[in-house]
Amino acid sequence: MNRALLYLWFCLLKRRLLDFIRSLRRPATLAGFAAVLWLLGVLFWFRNEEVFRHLVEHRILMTGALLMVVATLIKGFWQRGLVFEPPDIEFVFTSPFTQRQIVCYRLLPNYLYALIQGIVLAALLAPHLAHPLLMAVGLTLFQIICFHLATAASLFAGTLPEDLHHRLRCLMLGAAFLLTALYFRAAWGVRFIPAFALSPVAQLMFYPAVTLPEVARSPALQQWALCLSPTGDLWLRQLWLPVLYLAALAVGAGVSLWGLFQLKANLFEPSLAITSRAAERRLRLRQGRDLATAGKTEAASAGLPTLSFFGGVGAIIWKNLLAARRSQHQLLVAVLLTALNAGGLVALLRHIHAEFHAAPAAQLSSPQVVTALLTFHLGLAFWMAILAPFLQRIFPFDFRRDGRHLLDFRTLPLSPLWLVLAEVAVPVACVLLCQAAGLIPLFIYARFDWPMLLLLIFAYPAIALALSSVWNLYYLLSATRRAAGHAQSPSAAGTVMVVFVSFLVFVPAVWTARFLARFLSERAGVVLSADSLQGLVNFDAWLRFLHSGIPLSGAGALGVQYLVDFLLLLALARLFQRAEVSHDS
Amino acid sequence: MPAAPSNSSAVPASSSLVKKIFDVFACPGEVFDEIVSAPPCFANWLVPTLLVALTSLILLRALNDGGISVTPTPQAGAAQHTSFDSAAPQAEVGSLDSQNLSVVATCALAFGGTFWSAFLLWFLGRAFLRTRFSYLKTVEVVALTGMIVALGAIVTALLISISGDPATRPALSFFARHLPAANPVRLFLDTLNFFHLWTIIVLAIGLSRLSGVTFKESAACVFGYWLVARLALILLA
Repeated sequence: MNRALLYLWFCLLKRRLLDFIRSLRRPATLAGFAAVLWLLGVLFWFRNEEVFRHLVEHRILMTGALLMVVATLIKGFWQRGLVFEPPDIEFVFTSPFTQRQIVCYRLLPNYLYALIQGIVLAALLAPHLAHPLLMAVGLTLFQIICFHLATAASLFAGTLPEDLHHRLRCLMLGAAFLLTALYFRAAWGVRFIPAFALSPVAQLMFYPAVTLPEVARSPALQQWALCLSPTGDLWLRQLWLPVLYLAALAVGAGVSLWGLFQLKANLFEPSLAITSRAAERRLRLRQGRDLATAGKTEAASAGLPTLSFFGGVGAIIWKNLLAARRSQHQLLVAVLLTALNAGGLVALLRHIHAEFHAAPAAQLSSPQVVTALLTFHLGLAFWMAILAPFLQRIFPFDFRRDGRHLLDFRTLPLSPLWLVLAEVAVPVACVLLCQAAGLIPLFIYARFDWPMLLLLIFAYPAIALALSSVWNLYYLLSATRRAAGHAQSPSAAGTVMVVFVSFLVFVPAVWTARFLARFLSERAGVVLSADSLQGLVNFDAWLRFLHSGIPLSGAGALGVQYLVDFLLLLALARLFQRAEVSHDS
Repeated sequence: MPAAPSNSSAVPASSSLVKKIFDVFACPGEVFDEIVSAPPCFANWLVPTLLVALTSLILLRALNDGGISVTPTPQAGAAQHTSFDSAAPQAEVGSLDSQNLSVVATCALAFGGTFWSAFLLWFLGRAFLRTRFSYLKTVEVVALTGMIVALGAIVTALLISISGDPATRPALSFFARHLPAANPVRLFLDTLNFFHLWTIIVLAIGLSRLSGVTFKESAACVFGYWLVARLALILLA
């Protein structure tokens, strides 16, 4: 190995590492990196589990090794030549290095990868290994062998003509599949091919290398042929009716096509208009704009607000309120969703409470009934809370629509935090308004204690604000990319990640609630377990815990959630502030 | 995608169909060269396919005289048992009995099989060898290759008559007749039928002439499908 190339590789590695660390400032990269770390952490945490012991079994290791070698050979052969960085072509290829030195230089990153992979795998499997260090070295060396094979296959494939390479590639793929399937059949008893593949009828696929009468005398073929043989009216019905139906449909298709061709209408002008509209809709979708307003280009002017609240940053709220008032489609969908949920909730409340009123008073005051009723009401409150993510997606009066005005907003004399607050205010208010339609009847029927009532009233804004902040982070990132000229459609992976994060933001609050509930229940003399609601031995203690312990736990969780919301808003403001920098880059 | 080379520089002299049918046993390459250079001819595939159907009917007769049905797998045997049980009354009341159905099926399969294997050969050439050639010419090549199948059917019928065992084939399984029909080793050896291997070699020659690639390349494709895949099915099932 040439020392100059080694130094070059080390410098490039260092630079890439620093670039990667810098890229962690971008939320998406950070989230991806954190997800990988989290996954590794989870695997490490559960490394003593039985499943890891199975992974180091001889059979599994052999299977993995075989698959790796086969995949490596195919991947290498597919590639035809080694992939270098463009600057390497200009610098390394023209410098006085031998081919062997350049190949070694190309393999250096692979060696590092093999080493890291070997260490990670050995660390995960260490509890089940007699010699973890030996295993780490072995895995590293095996991975290095695979890289050598891949490189050799790539270099060999590069010397072949393109047509021959294509043919060998197909043969190699077939041979690899066959080899792997045979191994799985022999070692694991896995059948990739069903038994009927050996039947005489299936052998017909290999005509002319078959004995035809064997196929003709096969029971399956004879049975099928007998079904077609005439045996009276039943046969006629079985064969001719489907034929008749098919013929009728075929005639119908032909006649309708003939009728279509007879039309003398103008094809071009209407098609031009609808094509333009479809193209505009695609463009709006790519730009992250709303499709519902694609056809509307004009709206009646609205009078300027007289309230001083709508001055300054309040103007953003007023603009979004105006947009909400004009978005009848979104409002209608939200009203329908709310009506369905709230209607179901009120009907359920009425039914349950009617049954309770019919029950004797002694039964109503029993511990089981009191606890069940409280749990039922809390469940309904949770039901209404679940509505928030769906409603949030319906109201797009935030950075979803204002993303294209990002650079204009940057010129306004407003604090980023206030602007971000103003952006999320209208969707959050709309969500809370819709939830109130179900919550007000619930509060009337449930007659919660004041602490519990206050807890619930403050909980809903925290949830809506958290969801809105997370989604707006995503919208703002997308808008920033669009502003920087990287227009792209919203990806499914990005959306899934945001959904995942929108659940993740509640984890600190849930963890706090769980911790406080355990602490307070121990102090109240109540044991929290899976069947705690069934075993209500100390009812007074339970009641004390329900009326004071749960609101206190909830208050703690709520405080944490508001803190998380504040941090999210700060992140949003920071991201907004950096929008222009992204544009320059 | 390169087109198959036209042999206009050295066009072989046009020969009669009977000569082609006999020449395909001895010098298939020349026959296929002639097929490739000549325009498509209806008789080139119709007559050989009819001959294949006819000889297969002779073999069918020999198998039926043996009175034992060929059941390569236990599953097929079980299926045969149940299907004959249920189909027997239908066969009696129907206008076609089991043997007549076999006759019709043999003739139909000869034609269907020819078009199917021609499609496979055409597809192999198109997808793997990246060459374009006429499907109708492929049908002619496959149909003429079928003459070996016809000869194989006659030889098999004679073998069955001599040995009295309907499971006898001109294959390596001839030396392992003590093994049951469903035995994988027996099935494996059955696949190594002399006439089937001959057919595959001639098919490979046909593909090489149609596509203009070397025999080695076409043989890799044809043997890969008609022999290796078939053997793999036995090993993997």
